[in-house]
Amino acid sequence: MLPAYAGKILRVNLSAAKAAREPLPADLVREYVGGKGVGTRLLFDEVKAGIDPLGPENKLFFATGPATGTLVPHKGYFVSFKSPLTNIYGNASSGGSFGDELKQAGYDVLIIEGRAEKPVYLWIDDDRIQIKDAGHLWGKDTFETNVLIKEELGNEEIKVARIGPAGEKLVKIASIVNDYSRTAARCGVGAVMGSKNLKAIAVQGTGSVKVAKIDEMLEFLKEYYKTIREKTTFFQEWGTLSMFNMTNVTGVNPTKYWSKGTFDEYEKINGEAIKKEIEVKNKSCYSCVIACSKLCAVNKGEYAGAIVEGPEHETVYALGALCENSNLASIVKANELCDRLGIDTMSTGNIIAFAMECYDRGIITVKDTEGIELVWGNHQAVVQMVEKIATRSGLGNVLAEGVRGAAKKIGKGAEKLAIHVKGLEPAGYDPRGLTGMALAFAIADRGGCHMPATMYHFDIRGILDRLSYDGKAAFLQNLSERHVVSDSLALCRFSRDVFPWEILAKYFELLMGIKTNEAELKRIGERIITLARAFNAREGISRKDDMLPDRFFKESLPNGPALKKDKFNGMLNEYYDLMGWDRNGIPTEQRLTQIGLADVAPQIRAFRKKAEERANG
Amino acid sequence: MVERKFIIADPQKCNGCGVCELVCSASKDKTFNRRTSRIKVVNIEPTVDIALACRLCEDPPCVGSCTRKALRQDEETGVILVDENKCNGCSWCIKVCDYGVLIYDPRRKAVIVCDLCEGDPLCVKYCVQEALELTTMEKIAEKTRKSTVGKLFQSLTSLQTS
Repeated sequence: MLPAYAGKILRVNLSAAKAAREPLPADLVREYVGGKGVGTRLLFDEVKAGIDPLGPENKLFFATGPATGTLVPHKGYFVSFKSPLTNIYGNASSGGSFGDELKQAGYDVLIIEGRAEKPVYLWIDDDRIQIKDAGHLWGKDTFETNVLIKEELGNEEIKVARIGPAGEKLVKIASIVNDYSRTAARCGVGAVMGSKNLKAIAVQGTGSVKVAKIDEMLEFLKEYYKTIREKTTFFQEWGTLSMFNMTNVTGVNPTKYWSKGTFDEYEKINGEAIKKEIEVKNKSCYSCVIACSKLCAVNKGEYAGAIVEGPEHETVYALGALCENSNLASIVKANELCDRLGIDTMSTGNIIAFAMECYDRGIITVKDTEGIELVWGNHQAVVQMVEKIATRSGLGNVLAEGVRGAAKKIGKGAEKLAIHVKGLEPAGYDPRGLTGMALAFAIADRGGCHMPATMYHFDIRGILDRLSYDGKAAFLQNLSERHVVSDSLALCRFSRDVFPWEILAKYFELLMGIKTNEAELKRIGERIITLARAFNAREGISRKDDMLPDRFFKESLPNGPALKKDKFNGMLNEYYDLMGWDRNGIPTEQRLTQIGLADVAPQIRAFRKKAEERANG
Repeated sequence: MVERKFIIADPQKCNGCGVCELVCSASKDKTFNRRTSRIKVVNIEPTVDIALACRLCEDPPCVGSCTRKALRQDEETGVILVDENKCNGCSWCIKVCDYGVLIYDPRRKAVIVCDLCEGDPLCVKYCVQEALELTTMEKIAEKTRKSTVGKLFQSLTSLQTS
């Protein structure tokens, strides 16, 4: 096996209560590296089209990368699966140290398949694998579960990835929490785990991670740490909130459920307010020299005692500005509840704000909310709704389906109000004022997501002309390929500015001893992105779905434009052309063959035809 | 007498990133493994993170506890030296250490402990948070005196600088 890999896959079948070790195929890592890339290939190969995401046929692929467990500042793990929220390609990732521990236990990839008959948890103690009863843990929140499992196994050092009550109840925005409160949150990954009756995965790994050139790595990082520190001062100082003020000043900070781009009271919930009022200290994922996470605690008022790693930018936008909630302590409280009960803060804030708009318009009433006044800025309502969604209680049972699913159930025109792309609630960057984000949200593999291409950064900081439609497709293509290669090495997105192509190539050399270059890496990036696209094509996704909510084209921002449909479509065409996808957004056979995906072509042939027929009326 | 130097971590600056652990195992064993690091990050979730390494005690109990004379303290530097051939991994030294900074390494079949990298510890060099410091008792005391007096006479010191 290549250096920087453990060389093994651990496959756990919960239906059969069996675990098996398999070699990690050499060609798999050569073509897909690890992390998101390897997870995407395994998902494509092993999860058939059209399955029920919450059925036993779905699988969870926890994949670490070559950088995991090493001194290269990295991310822990990526999970690939079919999403119950969107019914398409699902992916979620998390930092902390769970991934490091899994790799030290000897596994690059952990595959969970089938469904246990009753609640269980998995105990991976190096090469000793046990499936243990979790009846007594069912219903416990993620913080309690972490402590109870450590006590039960008599080991404080182990790392536990677990779900809360939300995952158990198949809430479509449920998360997996590892370490204290690090989360793999998006796309309902926790619901998939819950559907398998799997409460937690506990790992102890005592092995070592070997890399190709360890002395050179030490030498290189001694200097490169300085560059990383210099280029990430804003993350060190303000965490992810470093963009919040600028987003607001630019007028693209989604407020009052996407009806405004500025939140008048933003100074009550921004990075400065956090630093002044609730910040305790910086925290770091394992082996990271940036340490962007802020540990925050509320010590007075009605939310006293709330303590959380965060709130991050996306949490503050969603549970704050989007609900016009300027009560910072309530955001910390809601964030803590999301982490404890195991739901995604970003989707949660979107869903609550959506419900507030429905309430505002009389589509839902105080009877539906069981007395909660779901009015803009009601921080108590925000906190109460978090609990209702996570436990599927009352109106929460409807909202637990995500914005798209909830809107369908509510009816009465609610569907026209719902802001999502392919069923995923978007991040806090209004695409009407950021054309790069418009394209990024439209084509992202998991739906309305900001991570595959962080165009907001370039649009908001003025590196690109944020209102121009020109050149965005090409820029995005290059950026997203670089990002996905870094996701496959398992690096963190927040070191975006310090990982140009040549540094990624350098890491390949130091970690795996592979000499490579930008052109080769771009090819790997394109392969992974196109494969995720092929997975989605197989699920019926085509151009019709690469579309943003109608409101973004019809309703302009108070101090800005609406999106122009013809220009948007032009950008989309440009992107498809660059990627070698046809005008319906389906990868062409020729391009698939060119990038080493010839075997994928027959699997999406029928879907290309369908998309063509649909497009031709 | 030359004052003995040892490694301390500032709990205000340490965020538990563990770079020190990985640097230690990389330099000593040419692999990454926090479990065989000679410096240990302690997390008491969610608020406390601090790295601990050998304190170089006077009259170190670890040395006294070793029935096989596998441990001795270097007279000049104070570093605990382990004779891997004599150590049988009985772990008495680990038990008597007040700081839990002796570690049993299953591959060596012997205990390991911080040796200060011949006086120039790598973990300190790589600590970008500047939480780790190679220092002496006297330097710690001096720092404490300065900061305490500074606080006591805050009004006066601020007068001088304004």
